[in-house]
Amino acid sequence: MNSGCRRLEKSLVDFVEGTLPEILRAEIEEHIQNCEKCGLLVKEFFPIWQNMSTGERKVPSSSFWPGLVERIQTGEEPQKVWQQIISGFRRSLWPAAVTVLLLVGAYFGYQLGNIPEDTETSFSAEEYFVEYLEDFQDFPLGSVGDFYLKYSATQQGEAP
Amino acid sequence: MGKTSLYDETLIRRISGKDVAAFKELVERYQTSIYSTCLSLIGDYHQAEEAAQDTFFQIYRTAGSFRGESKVSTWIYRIAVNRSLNLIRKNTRSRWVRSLSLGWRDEIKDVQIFQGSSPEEPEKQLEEKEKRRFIESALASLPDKQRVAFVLSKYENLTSREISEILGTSVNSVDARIHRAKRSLQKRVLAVLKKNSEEP
Repeated sequence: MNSGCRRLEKSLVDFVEGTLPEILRAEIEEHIQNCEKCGLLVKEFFPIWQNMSTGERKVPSSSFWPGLVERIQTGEEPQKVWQQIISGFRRSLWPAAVTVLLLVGAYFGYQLGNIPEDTETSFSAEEYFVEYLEDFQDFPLGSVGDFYLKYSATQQGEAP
Repeated sequence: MGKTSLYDETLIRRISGKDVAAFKELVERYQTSIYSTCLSLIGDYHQAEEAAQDTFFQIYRTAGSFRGESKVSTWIYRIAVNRSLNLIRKNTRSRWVRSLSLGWRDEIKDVQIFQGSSPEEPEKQLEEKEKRRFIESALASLPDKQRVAFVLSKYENLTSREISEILGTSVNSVDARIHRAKRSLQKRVLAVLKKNSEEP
């Protein structure tokens, strides 16, 4: 393939459509006359390109207009009030549900993280022990409970 | 052309008042162009009819909002192109797969399509049908923007300026898309012709 063949291939569509500059068109025409292969290529390409660049005009089916009229009539029918309410409700239902879920989740998250400090319950084991023992002050004399009470008091150096 | 445009605007004005007779006249005037455009872009008869109906339905609903900033035909084409492109994108089967599947069938038959046959042969109609399928396949293989520009330019005979108004882009951009589309299609046809010449 020589430079003339390459130039033709590059400009084939423009040549066939007649949109090439005059000088270039003349050069290609001269080349075609001398190159059998390129001459045949143009001869074959031309009708194909003509087919390709002129679209087929198609008419829509016979149901096109009736279908359109039906769409217009259906589209223009006014919705009843309750249909409008339901339609509006459905439209806003999903975003409303998502919003509520987010708010509930935020509330519970806040509650979980917001544990208050209890300053009144500074608790020691000794205080618990004394408080526990005081519950036993009402044991009858000579009973087992009374015995243990006296025993613990002697251990701590207290008189019962 | 000016008188036709004015008449189009009159029809639109009447359609905005829900004049069905005026709407029917507009549909009859543009249905072939719009349907053919949609068909060239989408490649499917039923979907093209759906897109064309969508186009005219939208015109009926929104005729009152047409301000006359562009020609009526420009406005109609713009709606049709957008509807067609939306439908293409909605399709579950990708355009690439569609063009590939059509392309394979046509690749096999490409050699037979353009080898030529005499008009007397009974397969002439079949050959024409296969040629048309090859063209559809070639168009389907183009990127959407190039295909739209090519179809509007070659099939609807719109000028680059009109196409630029429809697509909302510059004239230079339209010319570039048409140029690239032509190159791609030329390459495809040349590939088939070369294969023909190599066949014994």
